Amino acid sequence: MTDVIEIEGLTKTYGDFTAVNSLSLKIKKNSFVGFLGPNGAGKSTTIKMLTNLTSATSGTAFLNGIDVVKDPKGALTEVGAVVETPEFYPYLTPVKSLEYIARLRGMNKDDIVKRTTEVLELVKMNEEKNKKIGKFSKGMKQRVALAQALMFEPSILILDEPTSGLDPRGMVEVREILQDLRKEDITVFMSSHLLNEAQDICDSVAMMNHGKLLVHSSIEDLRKGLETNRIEIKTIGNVSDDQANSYRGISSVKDLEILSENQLAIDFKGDEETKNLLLRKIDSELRVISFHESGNPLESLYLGMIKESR
Amino acid sequence: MTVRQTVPSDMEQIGLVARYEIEKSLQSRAFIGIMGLMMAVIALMTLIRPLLGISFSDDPITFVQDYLNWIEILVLIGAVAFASGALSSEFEKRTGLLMFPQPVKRTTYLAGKFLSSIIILAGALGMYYVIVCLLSLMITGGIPAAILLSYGFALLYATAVCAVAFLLSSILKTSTASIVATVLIFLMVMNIIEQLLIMSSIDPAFLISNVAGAISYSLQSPYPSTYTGVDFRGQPSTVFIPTEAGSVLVMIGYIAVSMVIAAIMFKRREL
Repeated sequence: MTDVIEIEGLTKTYGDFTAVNSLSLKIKKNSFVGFLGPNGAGKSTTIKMLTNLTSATSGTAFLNGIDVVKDPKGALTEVGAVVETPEFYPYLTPVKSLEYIARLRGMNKDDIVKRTTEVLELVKMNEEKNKKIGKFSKGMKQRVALAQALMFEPSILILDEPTSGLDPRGMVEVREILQDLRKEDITVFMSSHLLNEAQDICDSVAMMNHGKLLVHSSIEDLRKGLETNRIEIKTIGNVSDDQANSYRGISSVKDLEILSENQLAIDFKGDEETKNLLLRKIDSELRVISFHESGNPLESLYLGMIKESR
Repeated sequence: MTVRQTVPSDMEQIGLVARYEIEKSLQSRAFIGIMGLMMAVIALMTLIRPLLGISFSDDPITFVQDYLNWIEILVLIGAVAFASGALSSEFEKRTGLLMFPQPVKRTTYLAGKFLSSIIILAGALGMYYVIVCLLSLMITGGIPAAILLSYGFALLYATAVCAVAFLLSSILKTSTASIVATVLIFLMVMNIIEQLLIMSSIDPAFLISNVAGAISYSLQSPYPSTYTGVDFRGQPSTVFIPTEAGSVLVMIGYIAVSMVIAAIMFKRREL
């Protein structure tokens, strides 16, 4: 697969402060990549450099093979973007705003009419399509922003906190829209603070902190590389201290916590087979009613990496 | 992927930006305000004289010049309304977050916005000239032969003032700062410098406020030239009249320099 986003040695400095430090990242066509990191990590600055909002101090960034620094018009031709919560011209309606942007992109009138209806329907803004945007809430503007980014069926979609400003229902709806895009010929590169969101939508993640890339890998590979898994088990029998200690003695068990007299949480190292053996042993002694994996593996990894990079 | 199209040329995009900017301006309160102000100036100029018992001049040139004395202030108000916030508002109001990631060069936005300001002001000034000409025709029975030349100078002056307003808008953070700076420069700084130069007997021909005089002088035939008279203290005093060619060059110079700097600043500015 070809790399549709190629970032090489991208650096952005503000005086003595380095916001993005020699970032190199390649994103394959049709992949969905989550761009994660704490506040101030350099995610938004990177996205702004990719979308012609900020210039790079050094390095290169190619979108579909075109250098965004040297030829932003060419590089952004097939790129849809939503950066932070953009403001629209308040005197325009969603229909007029989409028409303006679509015409700047060269869409013909028939396609504009057809796609305007489709994308406004998709982001559930059809009822407000002829109202002036000046009176819209932040969440409504975010929906229209997503609509403009999808309007011309981009080959690359760059999103900076796409669910920011949305209510919980809106967040779910936007995630569903993004998940539906998997059927399309599109590459999604999105920053997010919400690890669950990245895990639900993306197939790989790039994590950065202090302007540096910490890891870029598929979520599956990251899970495999995790040191421990955590399961919470509910039993019929009560958990005694002796039993807890005997389980702690099992080599794969890294930690055990008694949550209540018939509930325990175990951190263990190993695969599904290891988990099965562990559960069978506990079931034979305490009779297991239910169990579930707890904790977000991505969250564990994220927190671990952020801690290490401090 | 059926709707991807070839992105229009820079020139086509300039036209599109200008079209939507004009649409925006025509819907704005500022446009209604400017038109109202122009009508008010014309109404007051036309109604107050008869009420005070002062008769109108029979000479179409003198009659029209009375009305054209207001052009400079009307152009300044128009430039403040349509040009001062044109660039800074993209950053201040964060509309740039929507527009700059589009495949459109920043200089294209700049050119489209500038073009729209000029078109709006040209329209408003044109309406002012038409009404003044109609009044001149009704009251004096004629219109000055060089009225189109005067309109040309007014348009060039409006373009130069807009260019300076764009320059300030590309540098300053907020629309309010751009508006205040534009007004201060044209109402105070330029006038103070002009007065100081005249007092020192230096020709202020390079000042845009001075060459704006061509809007009114161009109606006269022959075109007047610099002369030395006597001031109120009985001292010899030079009245500097900008030449037609000099006025054109100075205004074009202001436009070129201001727009080049505005383009560089707007292109480099970050959101």
